[in-house]
Amino acid sequence: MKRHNGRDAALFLAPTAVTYAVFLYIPIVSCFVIAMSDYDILSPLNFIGFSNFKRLFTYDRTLSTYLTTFKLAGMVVILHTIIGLMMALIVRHFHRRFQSVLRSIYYLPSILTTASVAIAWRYIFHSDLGILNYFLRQLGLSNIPWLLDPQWVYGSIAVFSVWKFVGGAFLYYLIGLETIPESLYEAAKIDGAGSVSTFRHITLPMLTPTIFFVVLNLCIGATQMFDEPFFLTGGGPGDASRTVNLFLYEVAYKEFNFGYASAIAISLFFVLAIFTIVQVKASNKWVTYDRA
Amino acid sequence: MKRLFIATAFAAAAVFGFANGQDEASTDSGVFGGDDVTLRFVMDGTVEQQAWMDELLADFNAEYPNIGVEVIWTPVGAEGWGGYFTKIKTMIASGQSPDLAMVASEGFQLLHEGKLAVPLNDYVEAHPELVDEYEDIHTKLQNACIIDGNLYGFAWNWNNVVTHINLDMLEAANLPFPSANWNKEEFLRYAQAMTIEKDGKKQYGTFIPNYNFMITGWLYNFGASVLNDEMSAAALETPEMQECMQFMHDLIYKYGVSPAPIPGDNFISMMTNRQVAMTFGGRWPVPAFVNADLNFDIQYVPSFNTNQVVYGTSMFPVMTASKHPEEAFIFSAWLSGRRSQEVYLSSFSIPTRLSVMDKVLPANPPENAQLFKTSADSARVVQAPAQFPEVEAAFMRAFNTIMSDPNADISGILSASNSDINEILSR
Repeated sequence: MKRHNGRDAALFLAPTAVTYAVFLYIPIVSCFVIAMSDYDILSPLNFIGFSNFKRLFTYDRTLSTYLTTFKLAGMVVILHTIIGLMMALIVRHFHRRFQSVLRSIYYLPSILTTASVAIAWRYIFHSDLGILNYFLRQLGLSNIPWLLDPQWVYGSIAVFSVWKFVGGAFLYYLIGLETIPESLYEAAKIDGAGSVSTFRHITLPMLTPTIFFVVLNLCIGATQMFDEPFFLTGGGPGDASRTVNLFLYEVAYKEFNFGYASAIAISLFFVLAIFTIVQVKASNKWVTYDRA
Repeated sequence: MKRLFIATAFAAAAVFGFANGQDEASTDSGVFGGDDVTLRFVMDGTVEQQAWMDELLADFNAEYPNIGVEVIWTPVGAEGWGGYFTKIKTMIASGQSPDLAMVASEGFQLLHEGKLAVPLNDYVEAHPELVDEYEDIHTKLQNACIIDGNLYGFAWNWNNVVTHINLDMLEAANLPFPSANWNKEEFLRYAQAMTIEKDGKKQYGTFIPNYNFMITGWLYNFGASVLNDEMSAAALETPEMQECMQFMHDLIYKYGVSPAPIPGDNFISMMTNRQVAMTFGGRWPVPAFVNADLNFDIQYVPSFNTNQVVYGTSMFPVMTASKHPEEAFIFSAWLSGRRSQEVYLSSFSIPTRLSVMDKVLPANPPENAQLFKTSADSARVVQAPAQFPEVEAAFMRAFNTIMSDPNADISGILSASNSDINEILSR
């Protein structure tokens, strides 16, 4: 009987195990193997040891793309976290029927194709021909080099990212707010707590698991940012907005240097793993799971 | 020796068979065997062009019922030819190699050095009757398809870089149409005269080119180029290159006659939206200009230091990984014929056949369209080493850095890019 159970279990698990092996484990192992090779996909693998990993620390462009990624990710995570929460808090104050309308409006950009809306935003941000600077000029102000200046370009990408993707954080917060027991707010009201005090002592602590989830996901997503710089700036000006993922793609598919691209991918994996572990450890100090 | 062989082969072929062309070939559709095969063919094109290709394929299948063709439409898109070749290489690497593909000049060295395409010399020698009037193809354009004596295909379409001028804006500025040998000072005067601001909206006199091919059109006229003549080293530190970049930069920031380019900017829509008065390109923007009722004409790129037109051509090479190289050669030769050019290239791009150019150019706008043909005689092919995608990316990174910064250290940026490109070429 036991033997039968084991066989049945293996049979049931087989499809999932095979899927994982083919689409996850084998590619991961392959990535490590390719990272130790000189490989252009048209010629056979040529093992070169750790040269690609050494290059990670010596090639200026790799290091600068990491720096760019961290700057952009930091900005995007902060903005998404705060704006998403503010939107959820505002929507929650409306009548239920109106809430569903606002939910749809706020989430709409998330379901649009990034490429098409990015083209529209490129026109909006265009320094000389864009509508944003047109209005600034009407107000007597000067053109802002939204996509041309290495400093302004971060803000422009962040604005686009918030407009396009904040709907995700907003929805998580809205769901999180729904799960906070109404009795807590009633008790606070009876005790004479004001709205700021209620938010600080009830909403925020009760929402910490959601905030943690949102921040963790945003950190992972933002560190792998690709779409926004690819479509808006092409990584420019120069390398100013070239993220690690965009650089990795170019090394792989423009230079056909799959060995080095794999080494970058592995380095990104470890950076993300370290980030995640640190965040999970730190979360013990500020995330409240007790809802009793 | 190889060159001699090719020359002899073509001379013989021209005498014995080329002129007879496809009619003769059509009587022997099973010339290389006769089994039914389906070729995988990679082609760039729009929806409208796909309809033209359907028409051609129907004709081809009537002549060669045993050769089917599956067209894999692969738009060149925003990443340019570099991105297009990347897609073809990926197909080859994945074991899904096309049998043949449309490839532009930017990829010829890549095909040759990577041994990705089959030299067609033997096929042509064995079956010259399959090639439709070889001597009708412009010699200079066809020569680009022969590398180290290896013939990889027949020049099918080509493009150069000329100046597109909005005639309404020209008239509004009371300027005559520029002469063929207009120079830097005249160009600047024209750009300044056509730059106006009305109701907070600025109309720019020009838009500096922002794609590698068009920039090359300017570089050649400054006597500069990204690489040396042998394409063995970068040449970004020459005074001519510095002068060209400085002039472009000045057009944006000193004279204010051109918007600062952002990667991906579409000069065609800027022209059709009447935001700029002059842009630079070949014949490919013409359909969009006509559809937008733009009153325009073309003139040479100004002779900044010299007058050297850039060109890029395309052909249909047979891939080394093809399982049906003979049939692919038949289709490549057929598609390079006059009929194909008349159907596909009447309004889009420039045909390479002298007879087709003479037929379609005068029948279509702009008025000065014959310039598309005459410029071929003195044109110089766009530089494209085997590492073209990387070299292009490195140069464009430097170009965009310069053009986005009002205070750019032009010589410093060019010098750094020069080192980058030399490093790429040395791999």
